[in-house]
Amino acid sequence: MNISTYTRLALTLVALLAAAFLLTACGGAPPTGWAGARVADGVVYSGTTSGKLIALDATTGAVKWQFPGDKILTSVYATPALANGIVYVGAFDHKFYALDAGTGAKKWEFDATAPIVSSPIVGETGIVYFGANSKRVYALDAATGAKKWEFETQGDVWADPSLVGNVLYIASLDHKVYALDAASGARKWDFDAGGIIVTKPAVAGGLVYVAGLSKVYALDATSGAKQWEFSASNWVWSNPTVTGGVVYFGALDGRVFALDAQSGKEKWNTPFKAGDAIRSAIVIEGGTAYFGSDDRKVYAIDVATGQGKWVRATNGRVLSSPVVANNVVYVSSHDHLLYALDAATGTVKWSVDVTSGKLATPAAK
Amino acid sequence: MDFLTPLWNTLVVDPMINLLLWIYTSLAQVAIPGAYGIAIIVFTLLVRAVTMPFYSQQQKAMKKQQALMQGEAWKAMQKKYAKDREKLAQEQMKMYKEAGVNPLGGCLPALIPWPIMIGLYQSIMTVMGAQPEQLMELSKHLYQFLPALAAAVPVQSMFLGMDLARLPDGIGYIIPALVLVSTWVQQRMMVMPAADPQSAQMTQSMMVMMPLFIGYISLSFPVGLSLYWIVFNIVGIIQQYFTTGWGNLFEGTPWANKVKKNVASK
Repeated sequence: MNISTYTRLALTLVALLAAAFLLTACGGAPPTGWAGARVADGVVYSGTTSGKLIALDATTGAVKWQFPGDKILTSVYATPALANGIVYVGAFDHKFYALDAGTGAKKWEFDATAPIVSSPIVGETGIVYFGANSKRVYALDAATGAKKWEFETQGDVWADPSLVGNVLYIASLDHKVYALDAASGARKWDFDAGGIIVTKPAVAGGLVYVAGLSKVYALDATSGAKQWEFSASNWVWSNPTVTGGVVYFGALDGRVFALDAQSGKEKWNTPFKAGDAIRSAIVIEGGTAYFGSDDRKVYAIDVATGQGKWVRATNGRVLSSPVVANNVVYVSSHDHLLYALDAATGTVKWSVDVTSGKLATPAAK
Repeated sequence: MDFLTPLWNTLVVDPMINLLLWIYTSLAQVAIPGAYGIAIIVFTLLVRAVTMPFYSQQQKAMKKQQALMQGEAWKAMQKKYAKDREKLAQEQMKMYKEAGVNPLGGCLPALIPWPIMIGLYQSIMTVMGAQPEQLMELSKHLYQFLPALAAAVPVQSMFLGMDLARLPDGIGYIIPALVLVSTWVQQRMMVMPAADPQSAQMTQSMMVMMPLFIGYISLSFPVGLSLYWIVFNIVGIIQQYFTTGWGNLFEGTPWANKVKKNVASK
C-alpha cells in the first residue's frame, strides 16, 4: 500500500473521530437540569443533577430514598411540590410523578408526551398544575392523576405556575403570560411580553410580575393591563421574588436588581454583580437574599443595600434556586453535590454526592 | 484554555448564530413554512461557499495524485521494486516531488474547514434550544444591536413534518439514512484506485465503516443537525463531480464502463 493512501485514510479517520467527539461534547450531552429543593418535616426533597428525585434528612444529609431506584428520569428541572404526604414532580422523560413522601413509592404517573421543565403547584381544591413541552398547561387530580383540564398555548411551557385564589398564572415560550380559571382552565386574559417567558409569574398586591427577555413587567392581576415595565441589562430567567414591596430578580449577565414593586424604580444605587449568569431565583429570608450563579458560586447579599454578605464556591454551575429552612440554605450545584450551608456564614454544614448518595461533607456531631 | 472559549465564541460562534437567526427571521417574516429548516440549508450553503477554496484545492491535489498513480511510470516502479517496499516508498515520494505534488496536499486543506463546521454545529444546536441550558446560552451570543433576533426565539423547528430540534423518529428516520447514503456516495467518488490488494481491502472496509459510523451518530443528534450534514455532503458531491467526475462511484457496477466512456469522451 502506498504511503499517501495510508496517510489519507488515517487522517480522515482521525478527523472523523475528532469531529464525532467534539460534536458529542458540544451538544449531544444529556441535559443536566436545575431542580430546586423543597423542605418539609425535616426532609429535603430535590431533583438531582444525576436525573433522580432524592429525599434527605435535613439535619444530617442521610439519604432516605431515591426515585426511581436504578433508573434515571433523564433529568429534572422542576422543583417538587408537597401536599398531603405526596411529592409531585415532572421530569424530562415526559412523565409527571406522584410519590409517597415517606417511602418514595410511586402512587401514579401521567404522560405529558413531552419533556417537563415546569415546577408543579398544588391547590387547596386537590388539583396539581404544571406546564410541559407539549405546549400545554395541565390540571390533574392530585389524588389519582386523572386529567381535569388542559390548556394549549403556542409554545413550550417551561415556567412554573402561580396560584392565587381561583386564578392560575402561567407563562409560555409563545411570549405570553396567561391568567386561567383554576377550576376550568378557561382563559381570563393574556399578555404578550414580546419575547420568551421562562419565569414564574410572581403575584403580590394585585399585580403580576413577569419577565419577557430583558424586560420585567408589572401587570394588573385582574385585567392583565400593564402598570409599568423595567428594562434589565440582559435576559431574565430568574423567578421574580416580591417581598416588603420590592421585586428582586437576577439577569443572565450576573446582575441582581431590586425594584420598587409599585413604581418599578430601582431601589439600589448599583445592581449587585455576580461573576456570571443568574438563573436561580433570588430567595429572601431574614433580610438576606440567597442565590446561585453560573460562576459556580452561591451568594448571600443584604437586601437593604445590595452589598455582599458571603460567597460559597462550588465546583459546578449553580443554576438551581436555593431554599432556606431553619437557618440552613439548601442548594444543588452541577458538581453533583447538594449543599446545606449555614445561612449566616455560608459554611458547609454537610454536602451529599447525589450520584452515589454518600456524604461528601458529613455533618458535625 | 479558558481564554480560548471567549475567543472562539467571538470569532466563530457569535457571528454564525446571529447570521443563522437573521436568515431564519427574514424567512419567518414572509411566513415561509419550515423557515428554520430552510435557514439551515441556506446557512450551510453559505458556509460551504466560504470554505469552497479549501475543498477545491483538496480535490485538485487528489486528481493530480490520482493521475500519477494510474500512470505507466508508477506501474513500472511497482514492478521494479515489488520486493523492496521501502525503496518503493522513497521512489514514490521522489515522483511526487518531481511532479510538484504534496502527498498531504489532499488532506490538510480538507481539515481546515473542520473548525468552521464545529462552529456551525454549535450554532445550529444553540439556536434550536432543544435543551433549556442551550437556550439560556443563546443570550450570551446574540448581538444587542439586533433586538429582532431575540424576539424570534424560540425558532419554529418543524420542517417537512419533522421536528428539527428532536431526535429522529417516525418519518424522521429517513434523515440518518440520507446522511449515510450521501456520505457513502461522496466518499466513493473521492476514493483513489487502490495500488495493491492490501490497500484495496482497507479502502473497501473504510468505505463501509465510515458512512455507517456517521449514519449511526446522526441517530443521536437532533434532525436539524443531520439536515446540515446532508446539505454539506450534497454540495460536496456536486463539487466533486465537476472536478473529477463520478470517480469510483460506479466501479464494480454494470454502468462502470459506460460512465468511463462518457468521461473519456468529454
